[in-house]
Amino acid sequence: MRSAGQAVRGLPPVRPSGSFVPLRSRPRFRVLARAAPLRHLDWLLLTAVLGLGITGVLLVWSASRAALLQVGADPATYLNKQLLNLAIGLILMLAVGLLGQGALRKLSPLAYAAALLGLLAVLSPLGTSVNGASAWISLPGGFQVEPSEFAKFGLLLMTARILGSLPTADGRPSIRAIAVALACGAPVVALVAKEPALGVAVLLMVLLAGMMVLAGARLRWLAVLAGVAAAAALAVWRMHLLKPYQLHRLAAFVNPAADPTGAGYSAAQAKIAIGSGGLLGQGLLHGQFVAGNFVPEQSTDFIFTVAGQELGFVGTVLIIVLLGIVIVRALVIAVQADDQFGALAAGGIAIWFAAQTFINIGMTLGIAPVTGLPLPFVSYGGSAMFADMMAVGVLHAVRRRHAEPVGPLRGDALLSLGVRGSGALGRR
Amino acid sequence: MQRAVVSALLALLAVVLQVTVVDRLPLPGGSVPDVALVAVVAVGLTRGRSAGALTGFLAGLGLDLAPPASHPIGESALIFCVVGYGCGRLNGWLDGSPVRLLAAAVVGTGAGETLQAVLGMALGDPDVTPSAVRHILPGAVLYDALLCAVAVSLAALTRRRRGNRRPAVPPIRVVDLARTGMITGAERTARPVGGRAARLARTRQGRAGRAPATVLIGHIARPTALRADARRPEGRYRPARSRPAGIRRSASDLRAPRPGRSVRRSGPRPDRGDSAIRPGRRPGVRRTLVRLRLGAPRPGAEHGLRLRGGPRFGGNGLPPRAGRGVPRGNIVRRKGLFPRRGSFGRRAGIGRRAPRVPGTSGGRRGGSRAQRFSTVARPSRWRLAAAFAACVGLLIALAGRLWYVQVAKGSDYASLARQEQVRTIVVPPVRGQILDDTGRALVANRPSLVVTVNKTVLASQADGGRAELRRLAALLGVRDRLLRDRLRLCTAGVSQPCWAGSPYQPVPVRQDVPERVGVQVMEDRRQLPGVTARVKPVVRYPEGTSAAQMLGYLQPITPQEERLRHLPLAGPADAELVGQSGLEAQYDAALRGVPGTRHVVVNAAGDVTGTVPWTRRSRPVPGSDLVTSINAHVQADAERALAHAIRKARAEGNLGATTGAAVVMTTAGRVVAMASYPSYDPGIWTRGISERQFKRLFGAADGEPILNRAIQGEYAPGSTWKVTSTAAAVAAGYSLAGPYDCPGSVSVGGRTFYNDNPFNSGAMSLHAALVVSCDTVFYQLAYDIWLRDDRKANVVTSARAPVQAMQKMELAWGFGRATGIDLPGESAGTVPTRPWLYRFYRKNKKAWCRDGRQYGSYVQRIAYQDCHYGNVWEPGLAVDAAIGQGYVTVTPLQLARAYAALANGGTLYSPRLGEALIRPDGRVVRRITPPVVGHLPVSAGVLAYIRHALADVMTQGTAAPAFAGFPLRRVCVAGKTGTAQVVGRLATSVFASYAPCVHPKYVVVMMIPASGYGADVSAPAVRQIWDGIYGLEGHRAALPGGQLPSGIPRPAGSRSASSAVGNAGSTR
Repeated sequence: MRSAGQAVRGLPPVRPSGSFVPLRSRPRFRVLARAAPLRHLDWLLLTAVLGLGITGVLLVWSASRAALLQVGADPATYLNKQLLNLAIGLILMLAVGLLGQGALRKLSPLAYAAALLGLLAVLSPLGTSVNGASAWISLPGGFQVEPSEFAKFGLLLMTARILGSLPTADGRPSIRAIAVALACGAPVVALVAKEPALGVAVLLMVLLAGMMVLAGARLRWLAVLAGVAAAAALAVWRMHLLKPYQLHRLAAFVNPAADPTGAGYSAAQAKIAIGSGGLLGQGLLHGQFVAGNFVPEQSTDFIFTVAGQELGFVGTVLIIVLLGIVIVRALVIAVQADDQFGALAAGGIAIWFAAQTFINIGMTLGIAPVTGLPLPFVSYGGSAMFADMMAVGVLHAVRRRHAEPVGPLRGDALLSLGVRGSGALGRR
Repeated sequence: MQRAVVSALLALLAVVLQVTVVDRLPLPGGSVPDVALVAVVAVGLTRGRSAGALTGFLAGLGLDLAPPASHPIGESALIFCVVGYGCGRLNGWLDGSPVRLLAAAVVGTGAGETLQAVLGMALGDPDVTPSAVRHILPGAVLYDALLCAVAVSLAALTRRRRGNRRPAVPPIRVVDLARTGMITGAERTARPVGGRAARLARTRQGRAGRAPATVLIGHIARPTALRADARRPEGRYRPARSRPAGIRRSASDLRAPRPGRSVRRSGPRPDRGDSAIRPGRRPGVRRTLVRLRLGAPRPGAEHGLRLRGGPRFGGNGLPPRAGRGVPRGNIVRRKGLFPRRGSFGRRAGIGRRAPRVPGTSGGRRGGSRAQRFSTVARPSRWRLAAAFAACVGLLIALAGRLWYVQVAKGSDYASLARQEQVRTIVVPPVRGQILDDTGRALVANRPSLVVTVNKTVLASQADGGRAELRRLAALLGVRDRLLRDRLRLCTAGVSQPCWAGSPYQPVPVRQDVPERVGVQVMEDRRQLPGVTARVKPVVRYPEGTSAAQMLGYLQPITPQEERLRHLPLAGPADAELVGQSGLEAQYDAALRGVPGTRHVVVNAAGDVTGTVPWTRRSRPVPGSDLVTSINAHVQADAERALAHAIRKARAEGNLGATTGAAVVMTTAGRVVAMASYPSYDPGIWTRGISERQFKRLFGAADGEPILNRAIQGEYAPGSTWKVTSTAAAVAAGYSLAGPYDCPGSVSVGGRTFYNDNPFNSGAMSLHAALVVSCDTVFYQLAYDIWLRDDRKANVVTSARAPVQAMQKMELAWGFGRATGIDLPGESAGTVPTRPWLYRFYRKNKKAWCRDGRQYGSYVQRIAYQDCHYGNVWEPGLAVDAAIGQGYVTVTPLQLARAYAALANGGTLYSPRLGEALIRPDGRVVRRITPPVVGHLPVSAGVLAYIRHALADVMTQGTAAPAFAGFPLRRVCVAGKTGTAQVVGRLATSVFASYAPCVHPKYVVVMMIPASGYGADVSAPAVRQIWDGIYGLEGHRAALPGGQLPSGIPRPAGSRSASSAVGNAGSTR
């Protein structure tokens, strides 16, 4: 490294204008240096995510307070837990972001394998059942992990890697790549559907299909796949493979008035809760309907109803705008990404968040069937928060690779000055 | 970006137009064009498949979300997307031919409409039926095709015009460029690049600071050979064999483009490598717009060639794809989300870049990696753009829906929310008490700790609450079987005990629970969900069994009654009790009061979480107290005397004596006491009646204690009836003085009628006949009157037959019809008039004729007679009726009222138990006085004559033995005994009396069927009652000096229960 130092010394110092950061011999370690990772965080994205997380914490508090008070527990229990989730999530996000795109690409099979293992563990005696779906793993110390949330993350990275690495001459993924991606996705989807978490399974399928579209898969292949999927759906329907409650939910979605006390109850109550918020809402912690616990699962899947009632149209639109910022930033990062892996990962994350947002909010508004999908960054739950935050970390990693300066101080310049080696300053 | 926006706007416009205007057009054929579909087809045909698919998706999504959508979301989006894409594919085939255009329009719209119909039917859309499709589809396709042709023509027109405005720029030939070796990469683009694109390109170039670059834009003439070559996989441009005329090869012939137009040179070395060749425009040569960027032909520089393929180029025209192993890169750094104008709608092309030469700088310092290291495939831009459009579209759809739900329909949902979470609880008022004439409570309300069980909570448990009931039973010290029984609903086939209220109301299972147990229940909330203990007002009967039938009982209201009485439904807190018989039923409305309402906020589980701030609670108005004219002491005396008499009769061997009734009333029509034997403890109703108790209460074996025999018992009055017969005889013209014979027996109409005294008592006046109660005198009088009556009417053939002379008098005394007392369920008794006989005969003829035998047993012979002559008013019937036997029956109250009229000089009252309704604070709400319903058609002299006779009955007559030793000087009692013979049973013992003899005040009547002589059984009992009233013979005076308490009393007991009702609404 000595030679590198000398080499650097020979060049005019580069410092951001107006910066008082002392010039150091290793610019990489300066906090606000051009090359410093901090400089390359997507601050808009981060602000939106933080805003959503904090909104979520407040909403979770409001949603759980009344019920906790009633049983005589500390009303801030869930508030504290969700705050902890948010903090851990941010750390995970930074960690994944610092890992870098290359490492993520390398580690993606590992993430995929971990997701698969987690989903398998659910079936083992480790798994516990909540609300009829055995989607959780109990860990010692009272912690519960929902592997299906991490499955989204694992499948995303794996698919991005597969579709990004086996292109044909014209830049489209080869049919082999698509086959491999499908082969990787199928067991995950099947295991999730087995839990049963139909909502997550559908989301995973949407994610898979969306990433194939982004990867440039030929439309006719996609059409064939869509045809196969439609045929499979028809077969599932005809062979009565769906569970009765799933059928009821679908029926309730198609005709909400048919069974307002049974399958349609959640949807009907959710709509009432949101609608009663009006333009400005009843004020945080002042939602009567929220306090009455009328909407089931109102701190997790139906958290948006709390926002609807307490924050009103203004608040809900703000949440949608924040989610929109996250999604748009993800797409922008996808556009700017250096390579197929980064672009696909970022684009996939955009699709993931968009689909999950639409299904979650849509089900509270009666334009999507009721499924067990959380609202990204807002719903209560550690696993979902961690997975979402790790996805944001991926976005940061992709962006960082793209935005990292490769000026004369680095890479080429050093090469041109005869500096060899691929150490800390070398080309990745 | 622009195109995406244009597509979205176009789609939005089409959807809005469709939903607001077109759908309501009354076009012939009943079908309307699908504007959105037309727009999609038009865009697809003119703009290509990607634009078509995108517009289709957006328009379809819009239609899916637009209000009257009955189909699943995504159906239209899918169809329109497919149609748009398909039309885009047709784009290449059109070739500017109007015929092809029209055909494509028909095919596109037809396919769209058909797909919609087919998919709608497949998905079971209720709006899409085969017949509807047959009627509507052809017209819709026709309209669509027409509209589409117009739209496409317009679009084509604008396009051509734009094409005409294409700048005249120097064309170049690729071949020549390729030959120069300067072109190392080519990029095909979707659109001609006009002036703006050129300017943009220039700026980019300038900004990027890429030094040697020139942009040339213009047409090139592309010989056929080039196209053929271009399809070669190697992708190298080869020069055409024959050079078209007009192309100058020399670089010195290069013509500068017109300034300010799209062709610009820039860079420091404008003359180097630039080439713009203008070919002659020859017919048959296709022109292609080329944007060419040329840089310095040095290694490392970027070159790009973009060719816009004419329509003929179609899919895989120029340029050839780079083969495997050819490094691909991007020419222009991608910045921003959308592909630039000029590349939208086509897959971004592949640029080629020269291999990097180490050691050379790639451009400006600090450029991004993307500019230099991107050698891997990238996601196509339009797909990213589509993803962007889809994501933002979905979010905008959500926001729109939110607007609809929260702002447009917000108030509706707010009121729904209020309905969901606000419960109106009916707070039952404290029921009024029933007081006696001194203000003593006959029915009181007292607070009691009641344990209730919520059936719904119980049912929601895994074992149906069985374990919980066991725990509760152990806590309460009862068997859990009893609790289970009390929780059953009273339906058909379920016997008492059961719950008659609503299944959603908490069922009281035990009251008078000790406080200790109540506290335990409340503390064990976890163990005993749905079980509550709280203080409720409970009906109490301080006088025990006294006047049980008269007071009546309370039971939870049944839903049927609720509807019948238009009562508000009681909230979840309480089952409202309503009076089911007696005074409780008669004065229910006044006693109940007005229920209050309370609005509480509940949560989803139904727990009350607070009160509602925006509504006012209305307090319940407590029920009024009913002051009765009953005197508790007299009532007790009367019941005791009655019970004693019956027990005595039974002790003497008259085991048939099981029932009886006594009435004490004033001559002004107020009832002072009303006793019915047997009686029961009304408390069993409030404590939860058991099946055994219920059976006993309504069972004939135990004498049906539920019956109030004073008004519901119909007994033959016997000789007490003779007062009416006397009055009838005087009215018929017979003399009071007589003399009338009193033989031992009289034979009338072939039957012999006996006197109680078998010896001839000689001639006597009616006075003596009443005193000694000579039946034969009245037999003869009755027969005489029968003979003089309208004989022709005696064969009764209609219900309108005239009433006989004697029976007219009896009716006038108030017999044969209900007295109208303020109690429900009163009987009318029987006066055998001709109309009654007719009805009676009609009713029983069938049975008589079935059972009657001419030569059978006595009963059979009677039935036989009745079958044939039952409708004939025979003299025998008249004779029987004259002494209160035969068909004559009266209720004790009727008899008392008649004697009251006799005593008070002829005024017939409708008796009343109630005296006044008063508020809890003592204010009188309503006074109740017995109404006069008639006057006896008897002169005062005759009444006085009869009264005189009745007074002598006590001293010389039939009652003399019973009243021997009674201090008649202090209280002069007058009365008449009655002993009514009933076939097959012992005689009914009757005694009717009043006192004092002058200006009588009270009437006491007692009737005990199947017990014996009136003088033996009833008279001594009535004597005890008189003793009790006036305080004679060692009794304490209930009414000292015979004076009723004056004025309306104030209620004695405080209504302590009212404070406990405050929390009646809350369930937790």
